[in-house]
Amino acid sequence: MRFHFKGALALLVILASSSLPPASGGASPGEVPMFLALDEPLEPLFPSVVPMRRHDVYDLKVRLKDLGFYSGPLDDSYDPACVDAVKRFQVGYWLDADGTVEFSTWRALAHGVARPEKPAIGPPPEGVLSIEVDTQKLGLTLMVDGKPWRTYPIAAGKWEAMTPVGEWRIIDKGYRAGGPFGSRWMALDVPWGGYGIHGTNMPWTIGGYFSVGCIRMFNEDVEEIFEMIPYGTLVVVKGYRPQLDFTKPIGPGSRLPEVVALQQALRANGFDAGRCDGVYGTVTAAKVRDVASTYGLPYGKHLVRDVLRVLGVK
Amino acid sequence: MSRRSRVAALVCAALLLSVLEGCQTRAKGVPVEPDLTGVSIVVWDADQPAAPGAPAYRAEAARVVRDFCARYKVDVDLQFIDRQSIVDFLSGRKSGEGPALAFSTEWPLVPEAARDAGPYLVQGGYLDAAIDYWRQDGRTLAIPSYVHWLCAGSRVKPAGETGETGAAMPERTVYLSGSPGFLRSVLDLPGAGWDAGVVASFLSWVKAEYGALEPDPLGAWSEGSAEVLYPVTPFLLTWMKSAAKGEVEPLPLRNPFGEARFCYTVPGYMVLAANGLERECATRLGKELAANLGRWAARAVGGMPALADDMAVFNIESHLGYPARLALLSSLTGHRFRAPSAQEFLLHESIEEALSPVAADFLSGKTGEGDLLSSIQDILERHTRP
Repeated sequence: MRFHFKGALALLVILASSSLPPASGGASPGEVPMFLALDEPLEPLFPSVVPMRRHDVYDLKVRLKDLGFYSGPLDDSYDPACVDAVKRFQVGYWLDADGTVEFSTWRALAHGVARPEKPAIGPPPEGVLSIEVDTQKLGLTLMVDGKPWRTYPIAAGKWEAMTPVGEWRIIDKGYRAGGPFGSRWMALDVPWGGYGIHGTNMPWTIGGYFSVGCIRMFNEDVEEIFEMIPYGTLVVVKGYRPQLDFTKPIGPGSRLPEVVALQQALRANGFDAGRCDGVYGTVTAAKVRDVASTYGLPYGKHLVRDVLRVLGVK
Repeated sequence: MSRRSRVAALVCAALLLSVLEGCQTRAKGVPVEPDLTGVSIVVWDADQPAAPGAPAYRAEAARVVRDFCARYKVDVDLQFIDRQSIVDFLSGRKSGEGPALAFSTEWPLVPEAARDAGPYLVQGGYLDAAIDYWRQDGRTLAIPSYVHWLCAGSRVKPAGETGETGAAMPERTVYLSGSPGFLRSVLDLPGAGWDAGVVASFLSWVKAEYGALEPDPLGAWSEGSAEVLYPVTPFLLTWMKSAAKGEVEPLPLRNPFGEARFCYTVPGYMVLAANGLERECATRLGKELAANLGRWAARAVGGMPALADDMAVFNIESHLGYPARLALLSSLTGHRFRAPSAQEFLLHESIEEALSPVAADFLSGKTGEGDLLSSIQDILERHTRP
């Protein structure tokens, strides 16, 4: 039998290129914006004299514990005990047992974790699409004209870095060849940080509070909704929120979770300032003055404090 | 037909014609309803706070407009505008294309473009004080909606603690010195005026009567360390009730002249359209919106509807006790407040803005009486200099 070297090479090239995701129309292939990359680190974890500290180490330890390789404390320190557990895991999965956690190790850790089976779906019905995320129920629901259409399980931000409550818009989208952002990512316009909806290489975290604020989905789920969701889609996040501090200065130009709470209170009290986007802009300022005028409050330096009080925001 | 029959037929026809003509005339001088089909107007209204016991205001206003459009086959663009933008337009501070009908806000002013709505308002159908608030030179320059009173809000001690049943027992009084009603409730009274001496003596009286300015008056009320808060609008009184652990009653505002009275403004709807049919449409819709807001205010916050026929709503659904309702109604006799012109409004607003920090410094003890009068004189001179 003759070996067709060129044919084999061609076959290898075809196989390699088929494993890459298709190029998207208009999005940077695989490039995640810097502000979003702060949430999910892209660099490998490796052993070091001074243990690395990263939030994904916690996720790693959870998985190793579930698999029986690790029994130490669950924290964000890539300490020697965790390195040892990783090496033993890598041996069992025929990987280089060097304690470095990168693409292949993450993929091996995810082995056996699958998204629950769901029937295939067609395109959504006609109507305006929006997304509702509930961090208490850990679900992301695709809405059509305000009515729920399909719900997906998610992982949300951990207690010390909660997913921001508010009303956001999708401002950027892209594809990714695996890694901590999974196969797709969609960035949100949260004004005080980088947050988004994306896939994951840690599917065992779905259904828990693991991220630093982003919304993680199974890769299959985010791929399912990615093409349906246009730029600018409204994403309403509700659920748990951290303790808010209303003693800090809040006024024109502020971009804070406290402003979201103020905007929500304005709407609940009959003074709709539009999207609760955390930005104290001209519309929010006008509605705050509206409340002050109606209640006969002074327009001085304590305007926001007094308005928050009459709106019942504690 | 006999001659007698012909005469009888003529008399019947004449009688029938006169009856029909009478049916079409609604009030003296009001013409027969014109055909408004196809007329298109813009209306500016403002959001109102959500209130328990009252429906959401936006939905109510939209329903009134929808019914009006269906009845008259007109097109109305109802826009909810923030109060500052409304005031900026009406006062002339900002120009641009305005509406045919505009809500006045709770602190009204009379723009030059306001049209006379008097011929459309049924004589005797409105509270006299509400009409007089908007009457200038024989013209009624807005359709009054409700009496928006200013008062002091006071905790009522439960029976047994005072020896009298539910008598209001004012102790510590805190005040909102930067509130729009703080100065106006005294300076707009007869014999007062926006005079430096009057302002200074009023501030001195406040400090002597009620003590230094509380940095957080609403906080003091919420925590229970204040018994009385003033000046208070109906909306703020509603908040005080929800924040207090007990009953809260409106009290008349005391002043340095030895009086105690409820002050008030009368929010309404101003017709600004110049054109005949648009003006007709705006006026008719204005009456309906004004009545709707009056009833809403009665249910939501105890405002007094300007329409006499809606006083039953105030009496039954306002959640104010009989003594309070009687006191409020009585306050409408005697001195009648009136809406300021745009010029007066802008002048007083800018004076208040300039006086507010001076008043706050004096009331909180940072400056003394010696500086007070001269500071106020400087401010008034700067603002009234020709």
